[in-house]
Amino acid sequence: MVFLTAQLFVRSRGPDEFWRKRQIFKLAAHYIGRKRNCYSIAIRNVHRALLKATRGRQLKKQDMRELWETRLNGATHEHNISLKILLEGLNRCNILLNRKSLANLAIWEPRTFKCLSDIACAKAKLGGIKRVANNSMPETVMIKGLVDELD
Amino acid sequence: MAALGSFNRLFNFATNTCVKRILPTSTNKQYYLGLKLRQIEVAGYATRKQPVRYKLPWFKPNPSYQEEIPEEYEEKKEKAAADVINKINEQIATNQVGRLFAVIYLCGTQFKITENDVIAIEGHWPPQPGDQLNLEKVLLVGGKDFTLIGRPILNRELVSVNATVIQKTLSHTITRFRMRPRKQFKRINFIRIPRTMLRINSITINGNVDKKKEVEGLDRIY
Repeated sequence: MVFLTAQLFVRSRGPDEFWRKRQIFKLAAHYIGRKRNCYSIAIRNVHRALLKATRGRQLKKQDMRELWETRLNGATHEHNISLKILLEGLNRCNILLNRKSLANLAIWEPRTFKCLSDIACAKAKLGGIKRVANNSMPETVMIKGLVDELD
Repeated sequence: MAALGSFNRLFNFATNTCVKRILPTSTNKQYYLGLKLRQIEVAGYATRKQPVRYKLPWFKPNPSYQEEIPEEYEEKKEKAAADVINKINEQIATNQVGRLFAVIYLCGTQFKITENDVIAIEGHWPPQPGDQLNLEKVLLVGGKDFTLIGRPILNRELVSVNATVIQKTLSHTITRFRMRPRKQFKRINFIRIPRTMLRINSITINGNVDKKKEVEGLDRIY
């Protein structure tokens, strides 16, 4: 193709109009009404949908984290502690399980989770955290190993 | 006139007091370096200046992580702990542990796995299909009646998790679309994330739980 003027060069960008529009209409195929048939309305909605899909991938990660926290909160309150105490106690014990695996354990391995929450509770009590001051010391925890070795 | 006089007096007072205070210390130090020498103490106790800590009633003292062994601790409990460990060792020796599960740390994420599981690892990861792997970062192992918790990981000779790489594929096409309305900015990229399928062949506990080997890492060649 020969472009004699700059104007014509600008006009001839991209694929043919038909194919350009078809790309958009393909994505809008499952919409209802004019959103599906009119290009100017379809492209607006397709753009919005794609933006939301892009953002949604980040949101999903945040939502999952929130979900695990909610589940863990429920699970820990069964054992008379809160999520904060669980995480703080386990971190101080150098047990580095994340929220995902803790939530999984709470659902599928309740006895393991009970042990973990007991350990966290005991560690928090030894560390002098006020929130667990009224909790009784878990009897299942043998305390000797929990005490930090003095440097 | 009276006001001006009083102001003048006030100004004089201020300058006199301030200048007197400033002069012998700061100004002299700056201009006459000889004065500094006189101030050096030749002999005397070395005292370190404590930083002034302002304390207010609502300030909490810093938490101390140094903990004391409570008085409740008894030999009875120690014996109970030894009993538990013996029972676990017995179960391992007689192979009554049931189907073991483990939480492993792999490629930046944690997975809860059991035998014959297939896990999907996302992102670039060097192992190729057919590779036999020994996963060493084991955070937790559990059986029918016990759980071993690592701080943060278990001894790599105590637990062995064997896995095989089955497949390396790509995920479905992800559309990354960025646009700013009315700003003539529009970008569209298509991404496929590499995905590796990993089959967990076996999870086993080797030997006694409380036993500490004298020499470790002999099986490993660097």
